[in-house]
Amino acid sequence: MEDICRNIQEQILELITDTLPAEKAAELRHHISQCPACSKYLRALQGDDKLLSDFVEVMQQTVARLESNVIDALNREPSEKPISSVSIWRIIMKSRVTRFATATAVIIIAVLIGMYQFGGSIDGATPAFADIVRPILTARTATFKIAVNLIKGQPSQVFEGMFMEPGRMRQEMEGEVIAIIDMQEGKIVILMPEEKTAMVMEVENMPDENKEQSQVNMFFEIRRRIKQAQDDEDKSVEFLGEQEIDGRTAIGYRAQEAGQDMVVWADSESLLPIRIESSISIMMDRQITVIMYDFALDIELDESLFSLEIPEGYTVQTMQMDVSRPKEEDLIEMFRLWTETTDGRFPSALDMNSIRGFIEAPLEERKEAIEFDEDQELSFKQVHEEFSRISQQWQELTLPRRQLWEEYKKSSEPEERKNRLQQWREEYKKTSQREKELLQKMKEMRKPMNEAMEREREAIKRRYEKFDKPLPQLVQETQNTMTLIVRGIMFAQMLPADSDWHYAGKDVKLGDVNTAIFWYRPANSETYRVIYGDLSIKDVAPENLPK
Amino acid sequence: MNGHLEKKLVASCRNGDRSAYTGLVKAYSGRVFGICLGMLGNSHDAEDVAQQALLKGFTDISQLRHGERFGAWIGRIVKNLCIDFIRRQQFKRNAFVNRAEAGRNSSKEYPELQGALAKLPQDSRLVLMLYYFDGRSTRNIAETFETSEAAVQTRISRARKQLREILDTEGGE
Ligand SMILES: [Zn+2]
Repeated sequence: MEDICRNIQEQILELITDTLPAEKAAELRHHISQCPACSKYLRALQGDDKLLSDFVEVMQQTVARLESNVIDALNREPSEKPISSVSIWRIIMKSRVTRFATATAVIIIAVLIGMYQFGGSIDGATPAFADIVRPILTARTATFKIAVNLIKGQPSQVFEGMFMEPGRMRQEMEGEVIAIIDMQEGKIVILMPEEKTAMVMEVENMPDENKEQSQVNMFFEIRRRIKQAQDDEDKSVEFLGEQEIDGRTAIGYRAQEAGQDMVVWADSESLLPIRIESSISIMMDRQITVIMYDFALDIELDESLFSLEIPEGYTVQTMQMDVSRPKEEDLIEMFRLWTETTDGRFPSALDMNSIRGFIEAPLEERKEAIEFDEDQELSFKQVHEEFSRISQQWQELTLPRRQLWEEYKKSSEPEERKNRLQQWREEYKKTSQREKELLQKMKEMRKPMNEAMEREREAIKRRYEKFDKPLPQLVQETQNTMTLIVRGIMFAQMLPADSDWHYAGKDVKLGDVNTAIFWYRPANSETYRVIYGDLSIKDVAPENLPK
Repeated sequence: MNGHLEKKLVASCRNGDRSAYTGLVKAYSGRVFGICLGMLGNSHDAEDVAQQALLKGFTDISQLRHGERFGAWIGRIVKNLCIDFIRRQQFKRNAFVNRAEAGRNSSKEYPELQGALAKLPQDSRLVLMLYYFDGRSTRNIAETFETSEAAVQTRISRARKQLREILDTEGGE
């Protein structure tokens, strides 16, 4: 193709979006009329346009169904459960044991990740956002309440939180569980007064340079998010203006990070924090909402609140957590454990999301725990299909009417409007009885659909019960597992950029001798270390690396 | 939809008037669906997430400060839900979702076009779907992306070009 035509074809693209000045457009049309190649290109684009339009036309059915489903859902009785969510959290949260285990897992992961995390800079923020978050970033002590909402519409669980530099945190839940976290000492103590049970987690081999920075608590998490938001402010921070909160005038900022929201409200005069709302997405389709409020910063707090001493008469269980710098063996161990747990599959990626994916694995991917009931599956499918069929019928029945309504809305001619409205009324008379029947049917079908959901819920509950072990055992197991997983992934994450590491284990099955799943170049090495699907390792010259 | 009417509808929704929301749903369903289809690349997931977004729009409407900005606001909700959805898909296969998917393994409309759309970079697909599903208005898209109309036009041109290239190669095979 000639260069001139290449250039012309760029302009044809502008021509079809109507963004060319008239003069230019005329010039272009002249060339097109003379040039077979360019006129062919224009026709092809027009063909694409037709194809896209036809496609969109067909999809209007789906859009119409979407509208009716939404409107329908809105008009449903408010007491009815939403149709598309299996409330796993409700089940988990009913069991005290699993509740503690989940909490402990979260603490353990936070410890391990926090250990390897380095503080970000606070440069580049606009004064206002920086001003309202500075008190949070610089406070030496803080007390606050933390309301954690696990299930929308259910009451929140409220914790009392206390924070004291360097990196100490106390968290109390209704006197049931007290967690004291002291990263300087490398210890986490969890007390359960009712059971007179204590768990001590000892963090071992902590590199000195991390002691200052590691703070494992929600306060730290908020600080981390604020720092991240500041680093990325142009894209992620949005000013929300003023609002009345708890009787005070507050100014707010929203910071977004990969679909997760954090909103910071501060007193418009003192700029001290009033309320921080954030969401953490965890497990299934659940978002945990965390609201921190009732802040008091830089107040006198008694050191004894953060004491790691175990009260008398408690049964103590001690665990060690190795936080030394991860090695290659840790990566191999991680692969081994992961594949064992997930029926021979490797993680889809080596990042923090994968860790969360792994926590969910017991519920979703551990083969032995998932027993599908064929009959149930079938009945659900049938109900679902039947529902779709009826909703389709409704669509078809009401389509002419809805089109008439659209035309009526569009037309400005009084005479035409009158006609359309008349036609619409006739169409309405003709279809309304049948429509009522269909809507009634759809309403009735919701019951079997809900029942199918309920069965689904029960099945998950049964699956989950297998993990309802005694708490100490569960915690110990969780800790062992998570330590291995996090250390393996952190090995890759902590490799320097020039190590040129690659991960290609997604969709590979354990035992695949010929497929390389991970390779990297150790410091000062000529060759690469390559790990294969059977977990064997070879030293490989750069030119022989997998493509 | 004009800003004044939109503001009125939003105000009614805040007072719990569900029928007022119907008007907003009808006005924005195309945009919401277009965003979902653009970001997720398949109509089943798009429909699910779009439904979720439109319902969330109603339950969260009290958080919308300026009623006349509903369009941009619902656009943000949709984008966030799509991002969440994609992230969830990346690290888990919910047994329940799999099953529902299996049950809805319907035939594809315009398989060639859909195949080509799937090969487009996500942002190109998104802008194209929005354009066609939201009344071919670059102004609407500019509002949704919170950017200029000129920038939108450039993106549409680029997307059309990319689509042409894909369809061209496919056809030649
Ligand atoms: Zn030419």
